[in-house]
Amino acid sequence: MNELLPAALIDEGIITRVTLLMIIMLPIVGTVIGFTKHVIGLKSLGLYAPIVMTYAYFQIGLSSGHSSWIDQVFYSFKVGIALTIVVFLTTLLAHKVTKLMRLHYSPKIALVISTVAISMYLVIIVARYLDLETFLESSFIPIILLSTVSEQFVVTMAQKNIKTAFSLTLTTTIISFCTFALIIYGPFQNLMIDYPYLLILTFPLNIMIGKFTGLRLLEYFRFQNVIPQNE
Amino acid sequence: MSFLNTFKNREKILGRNERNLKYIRPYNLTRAKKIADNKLLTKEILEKNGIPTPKLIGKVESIQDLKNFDWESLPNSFVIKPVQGLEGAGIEIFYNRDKQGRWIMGDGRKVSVGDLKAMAIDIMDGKYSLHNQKDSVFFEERVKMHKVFKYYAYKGAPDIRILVFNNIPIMSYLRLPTKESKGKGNLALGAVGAAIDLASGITTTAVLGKDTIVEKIPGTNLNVGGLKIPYWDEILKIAIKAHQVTGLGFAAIDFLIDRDLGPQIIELNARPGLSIQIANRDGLRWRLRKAAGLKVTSPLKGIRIAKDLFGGQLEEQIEKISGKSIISHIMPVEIIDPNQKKIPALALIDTSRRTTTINYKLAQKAGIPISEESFKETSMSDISFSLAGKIINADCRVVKDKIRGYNMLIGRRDLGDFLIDIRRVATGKEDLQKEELVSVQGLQKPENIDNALAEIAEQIYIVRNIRPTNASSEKKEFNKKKTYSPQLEYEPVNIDTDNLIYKLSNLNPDRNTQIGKLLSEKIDSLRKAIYLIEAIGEDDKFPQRAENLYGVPDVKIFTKAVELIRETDAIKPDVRKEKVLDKSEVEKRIADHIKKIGIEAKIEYIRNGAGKASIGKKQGIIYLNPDYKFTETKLLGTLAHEIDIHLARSFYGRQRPYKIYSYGTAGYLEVEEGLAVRNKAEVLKSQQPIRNAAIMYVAAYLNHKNSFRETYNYLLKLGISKTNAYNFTMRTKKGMIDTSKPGAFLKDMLYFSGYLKVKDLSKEEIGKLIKSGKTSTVI
Repeated sequence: MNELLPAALIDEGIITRVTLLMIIMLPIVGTVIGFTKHVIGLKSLGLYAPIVMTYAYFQIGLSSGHSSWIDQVFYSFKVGIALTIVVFLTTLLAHKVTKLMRLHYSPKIALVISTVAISMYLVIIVARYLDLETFLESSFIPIILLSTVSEQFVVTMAQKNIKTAFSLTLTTTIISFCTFALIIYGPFQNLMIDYPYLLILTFPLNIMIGKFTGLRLLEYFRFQNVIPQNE
Repeated sequence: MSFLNTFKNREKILGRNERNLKYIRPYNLTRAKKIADNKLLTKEILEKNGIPTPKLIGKVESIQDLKNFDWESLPNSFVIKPVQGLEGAGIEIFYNRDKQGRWIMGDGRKVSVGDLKAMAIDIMDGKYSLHNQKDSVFFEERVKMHKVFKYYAYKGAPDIRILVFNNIPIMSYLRLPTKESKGKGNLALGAVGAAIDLASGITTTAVLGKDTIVEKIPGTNLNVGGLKIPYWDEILKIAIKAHQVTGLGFAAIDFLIDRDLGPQIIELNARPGLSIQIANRDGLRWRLRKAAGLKVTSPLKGIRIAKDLFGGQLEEQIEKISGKSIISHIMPVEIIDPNQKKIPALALIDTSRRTTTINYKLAQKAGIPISEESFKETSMSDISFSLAGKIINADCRVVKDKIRGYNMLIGRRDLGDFLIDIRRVATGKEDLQKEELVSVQGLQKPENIDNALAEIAEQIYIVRNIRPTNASSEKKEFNKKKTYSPQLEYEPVNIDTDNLIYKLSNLNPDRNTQIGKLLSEKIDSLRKAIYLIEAIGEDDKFPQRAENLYGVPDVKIFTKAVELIRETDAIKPDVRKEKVLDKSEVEKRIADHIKKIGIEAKIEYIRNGAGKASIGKKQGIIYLNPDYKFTETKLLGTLAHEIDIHLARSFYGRQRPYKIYSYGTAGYLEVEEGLAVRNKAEVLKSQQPIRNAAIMYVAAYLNHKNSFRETYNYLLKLGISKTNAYNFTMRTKKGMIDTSKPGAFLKDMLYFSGYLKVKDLSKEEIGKLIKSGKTSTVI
């Protein structure tokens, strides 16, 4: 049986450690996002955006060349957040412009994504002058990943307003960043590779979260004035 | 810290998780959600069901429509809306048209047909719909703001939201647009949400934006609280109806109030927001849980429950200011015994009495050392009890009997700390809920309604309540002075009429079935009977209520009665000299007669019954007055009247599956008394019973519109003896205090009018009628 365990697959070179981690961490990322939404009460831009952003930060962290957790997290914070801001601002700008043009939805999104792509290219040029070589080497995955999130941004901007879109993006970024910090932590990675059946725990956990009807943590603050206190 | 406060009250507050899982998912099915999410569909369904909603002017669903639509035909004032818009997005209001034909918006912007088309295209492209799905556009009439809101709302009209669940309004608030919200009713944009007390329809507490508590409308000196919403009950009723016809189990129904047309539903929401809790300063969770267990059959009942269970915030404010608690006239109390044990009881609040009074059995339970033997008529005792959360140490009078149907009565000496609101329901909120659970849920089957009615009918004995206490002294006065009209006095009514009316109002039979119809008619007639009992001694109300119950006196029947009296002779004097029968003989003769006609009944003696004999219809008992001296003729009369007819009919009625046949279907009395009169006349071979019935009709007829003296004089003119004239006039004047006023106890009409109905029936028909147990619908 042991040869079927992840550790053995990596040793035999059947799969890379990174690919395997990305598979193994998927249920964990999903569970964390469910938990933050239903137990903590932080709203994010759906499930897709935080997963993609988590993996984008993960890739950036791995590409940093650092081996210590703190350094990886710090690097990812610097680069990842900067990229996110660029994507968000570019999307905002493109959204504002395309809004005036009264276009159909898909071409509009295509235009937004094109603008984001151009801005990413500019980022790469800037990186070259800043001598961020490690970033350039393996940066195509996080760039693609982050670019696709721009659709989510546009939808939120169109439906709600810029303010809501911004605050949702902010919380999504925070959630993704925390999740990333968890899955890039070496001892945690080893634990999951050595004991992959721990993943089974995410099933009952998600069912529990899925059936949770208590107040969310943030609701304790939101509703603090509902019942007058002097009673 | 304040979030700890939330934690302490988490049982009361509804969060998103619970709302989604426990209320939206199970109660708002996909089909219903589809209706709520599509404003055109909503409108269609509401209109089909006669529920008011702004009139549809036109719709644009495709590019083709866009080209063909006659834009110039749009009125000066209208609203454009996306069919599937979210949270009011994409809605624009046009107030007027300028000389160039442009429509003017609330913020002064002017739009041409071209601009309107562009707005429509935006909407159709899905700009405001979920996930940018394709959408359609519609135009509807603008609701003109009701004048009460004039100073409260900035530019836009305020809307009223009613949260409805399980046919019960749960919570509501008024959303007032402000300058900050730019005339929009959206709390997130800075509008004010003002809670509305469900019971009174008056605003109380308020929130600005999502969580700032305010007392005044921003930028004004106007209090948010204290605004009475017009058409409040109507709004609640419409909300429940809309909730029913759309199948949305858990819905927020949004209204605007039109200056001319009244409340209009503008939107239904299948995912109501939770901020309403902050505005109301109360949680939804406990309310929804309470409402979930109740079975509500009609909108009116839903409204009553809502007002009783969830209303009353205004009262709480009054309580805070005055320091007094508001109580109803019937309240649950807890008597505290020497060991601090609490004994629950229901008490009648009576400010006309000084001293709190308690039944000795309850006093015994509360640890007062009274034994049945040592107990005299009344004594005094110190008793502590809690009423509406306040502890009262009362010097109580302990009495032998129940006090007006209650074990406890609280007098004014112990009521200094309370305000009494008689509109409140007869019990405390908790008790009410229990009672509602029992009555609303259980009693809807015909058997249950039937049982409840039997119990109520048993308590209603008009004849027992309507005996003047000073009849003999007034008779002397009457004979002494030629112009004197008797002034009658009555015992206070000893049944709890409020409670009975309340119980009746909770019964809701299915009127489409035969038994349901019978029950429903009976409910109606019992209600009228209770109203009549309540009006005893109220000279301005009594005549009308007697008419409601017994019908309007008929001049044709009156004429017939007068003719009959003129044609027949008065009773022969020798009959009166008959010898009095022995008590045991009377009993034996009655028992034999019962056996002879093939029915079963018990004989009991009762002193405070009416006249010589009466019938306990529910148990099949003939009650005899032990003081009455039966002669042969009187006994035969009783046999013919009470036993052959009333007792027999109720005996056969008891064989039927429903009790209503024994306690009597609505209107049974007239035919039954008619039968009794006819039978008695036949058995005694005398016209006398018919003549007496006719005199009663004449007396009742005259008394209804004339004074005692006038009626009396008329009877004398008809050749009736002084004694009889007085007795018949008195008997039909009962219920009134000042007998110089018009008004009569019209029940006495029924003997003669009933007789006329049955006098031509054959013996077989009568037998059938008696055996059917139902004499109400005879001809």
